[in-house]
Amino acid sequence: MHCEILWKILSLIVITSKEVRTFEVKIKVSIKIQIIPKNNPWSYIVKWGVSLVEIEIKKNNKEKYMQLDRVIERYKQQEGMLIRILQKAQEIFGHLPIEVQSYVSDRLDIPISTVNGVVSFYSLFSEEPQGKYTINVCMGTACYVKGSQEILKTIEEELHIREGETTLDKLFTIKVTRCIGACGLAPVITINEKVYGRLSPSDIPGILHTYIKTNKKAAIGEEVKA
Amino acid sequence: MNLSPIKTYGALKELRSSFSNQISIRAGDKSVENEITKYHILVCSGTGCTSTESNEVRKKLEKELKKRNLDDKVKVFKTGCFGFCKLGPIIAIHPEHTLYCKVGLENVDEILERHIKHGEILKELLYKSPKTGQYQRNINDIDFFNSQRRIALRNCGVINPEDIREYIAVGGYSVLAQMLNNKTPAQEIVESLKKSGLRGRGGGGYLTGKKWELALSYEGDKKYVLCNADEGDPGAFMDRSILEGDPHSVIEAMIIAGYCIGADQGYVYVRAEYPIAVERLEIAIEQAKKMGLLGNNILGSDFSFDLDIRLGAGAFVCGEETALIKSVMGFRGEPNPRPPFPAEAGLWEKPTLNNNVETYANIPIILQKGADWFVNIGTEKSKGTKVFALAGQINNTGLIEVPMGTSLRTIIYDIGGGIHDNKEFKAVQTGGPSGGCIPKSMLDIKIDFESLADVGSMMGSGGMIVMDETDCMVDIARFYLEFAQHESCGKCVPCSIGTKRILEILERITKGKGKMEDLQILEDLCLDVKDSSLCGLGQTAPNPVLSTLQYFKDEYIAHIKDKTCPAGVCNSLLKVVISDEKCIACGICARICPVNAITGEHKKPPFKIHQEVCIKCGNCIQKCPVDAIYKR
Repeated sequence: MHCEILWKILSLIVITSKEVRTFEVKIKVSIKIQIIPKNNPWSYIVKWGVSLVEIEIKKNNKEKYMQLDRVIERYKQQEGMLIRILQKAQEIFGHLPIEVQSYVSDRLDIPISTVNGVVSFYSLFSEEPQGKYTINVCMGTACYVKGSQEILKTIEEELHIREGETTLDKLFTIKVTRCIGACGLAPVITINEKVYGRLSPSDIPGILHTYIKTNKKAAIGEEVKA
Repeated sequence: MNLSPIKTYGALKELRSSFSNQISIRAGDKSVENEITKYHILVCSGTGCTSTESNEVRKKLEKELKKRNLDDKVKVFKTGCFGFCKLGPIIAIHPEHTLYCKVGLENVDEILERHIKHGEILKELLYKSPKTGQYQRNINDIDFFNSQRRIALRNCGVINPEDIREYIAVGGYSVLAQMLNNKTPAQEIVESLKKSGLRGRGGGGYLTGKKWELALSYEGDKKYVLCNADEGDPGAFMDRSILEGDPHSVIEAMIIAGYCIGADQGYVYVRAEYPIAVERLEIAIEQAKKMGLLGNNILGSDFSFDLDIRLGAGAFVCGEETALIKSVMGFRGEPNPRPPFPAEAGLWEKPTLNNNVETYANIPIILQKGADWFVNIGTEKSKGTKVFALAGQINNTGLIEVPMGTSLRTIIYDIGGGIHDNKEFKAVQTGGPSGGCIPKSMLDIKIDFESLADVGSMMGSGGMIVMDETDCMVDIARFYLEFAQHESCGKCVPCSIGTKRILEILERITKGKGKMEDLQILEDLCLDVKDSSLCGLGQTAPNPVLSTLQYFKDEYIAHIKDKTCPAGVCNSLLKVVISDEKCIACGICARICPVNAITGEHKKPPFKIHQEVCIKCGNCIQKCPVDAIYKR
């Protein structure tokens, strides 16, 4: 039974790697090993089982990796470009999963611990996938005394997620940022590049709705094209 | 834009005189009557105004002018921050220096029709002085501007930051060209900087001339010039505005620094949160390279200097010198103990000169006008001016520049226009997370580096947050400690663990669970963290707690003993109550209360909230039709 599953997985890998090159297969397998002692302490019965947890097929990131290659090629010669390369990598992939980090570490020939150290140190790097729109709520002092906490609370309530989380439809991620320097317009939020200032909690639903609406329109547009 | 390299000092002078005629209109030169161009419209393109659609206004102006065939007569330009962010988008019309506030897309037609065609002033867009109630047309008459003295911000709101020729026209790069032409000895430049008494504007206040001298004195086969534009202090945005409005002044100063200490490579470390500043800086560097002002053999001399941008990635500690250097090299931005100072061993262990954006912006003008001119501005120990970012509960939020020694009262009441909604002033917080809160009784102190340190605060990078009676000082202290704790890099124990413990005590107090002995523990802990932390972050992080403990101890005591928050901020200490007079006994509140904490009889006021049951969700406050329910 287990061998059958394994065999299927292997054949799937072979098929996908040979013919369907535009897909990447991620297979999660869990192996259970049970060690049961027999009557005497020096012999055991070992039982083991394999079960398939999930098969995830995603689009191949080959093009993205090629893009990353070009970035690395461009900055490789200069000293101290790790942060810049990671910034570009995040632009390409949207976030920095461990595979990308290990790829960068291989290509630059620096330990992955150093790469991960940098990624985990700076708040602009993210190891988790981000929503299409990142909402940054400014928590600088000026915004704080002007009630940015209320704004954050309203956004959290509207989207039913907490700060640092992403909505299930991968549309919004809420983040807290420290001062974007638009203190004259406090309280301020940014959604991707766009800045919204002089806000009150009652403005939030309207702003979020415009994004949901444009996204729906875009999705319908894509469907029509397809 | 057609830019060709300049090879000599003479060529630069020529360009300067030919181009300065083109922008003389902005200085109010009326002799342009005979020329074709009669108006210059400058549209603020700083972050503040851009987020209120100033770009759209500018594009519409250009489009409409073209439509009306007025595009020869009227020219539209981008410009840097005017500082009056509260009333953005702002546009200025020259030669008569008219300043229009809150200009929307709908006003564009009117401006062209009435102002440009018929010379009529649009009263509804002018600034109205809250003091006198009069409309103020001329930019120089407005209260917000006339108490200021702009040195570092001299070109913001005057020139187009995306055109290097405009910077040259107002005298830019002439000091550098003169220096290269005359082969001025480095020692002479350092001497005049020392004589000017300019001190680092990033917060520390170290003498800039001395720093340069130190960097000059160390030998090295390679040296670096750094610019710290990692403006992490929440509530400070002067460096961003300078980079957005006048990037060339910083570039010129960095080239001069390179010439002076013998460096051929510079880096500007900018926060990635400032996309417009980064873009302007990129444009400026590119233009300077095209003009031969950056790169090999600058202006035909044998001096070469190159400049690169490094983007920060969101870590406050990188504002600290040694951490910044680590980050420029591409590593985790963790600070190192000093000495060795960067002047001796900085980037890649080479001598490195590091200054703040505002410091650099001051340098070309000091060298141009001479140290004696600069010495006459400011106080005995702090020379020149300082840019402050005014924000919080104040009427005119924005960016201001005043001579050192100006009183807090002048800044808050004359320039800032007083407290928002006529509320009572409580405190002003300077220096960001490293500074302290200054109470009302000290409004008359003349601000400079020393006076602020004397009252337990610091200059910092120049954020100034005004607070009124509705702000709880314990909560503000907690806010800053939360920030410091979050941004602590974790390298040294006093900072990473000490700030955590301070934060825990403060959280306890704001939740009404504090004890009186906590105050003593808090003070001791703060002093310990201050003394034993590795870098500036930890050494100054307790300042907001210490200064609020010093000046607002009664608020701490009210939280601990009376379990109340006098300002009505700390949620756990508030009660939701129904006003007996206002209540109409409609019963809505009782119906929506999720825990049935409200009882009362229909049409028989008042209703009552049972505090022991109430969970303070606030639903009743929102739903009450007569606003009879509030938090106290």
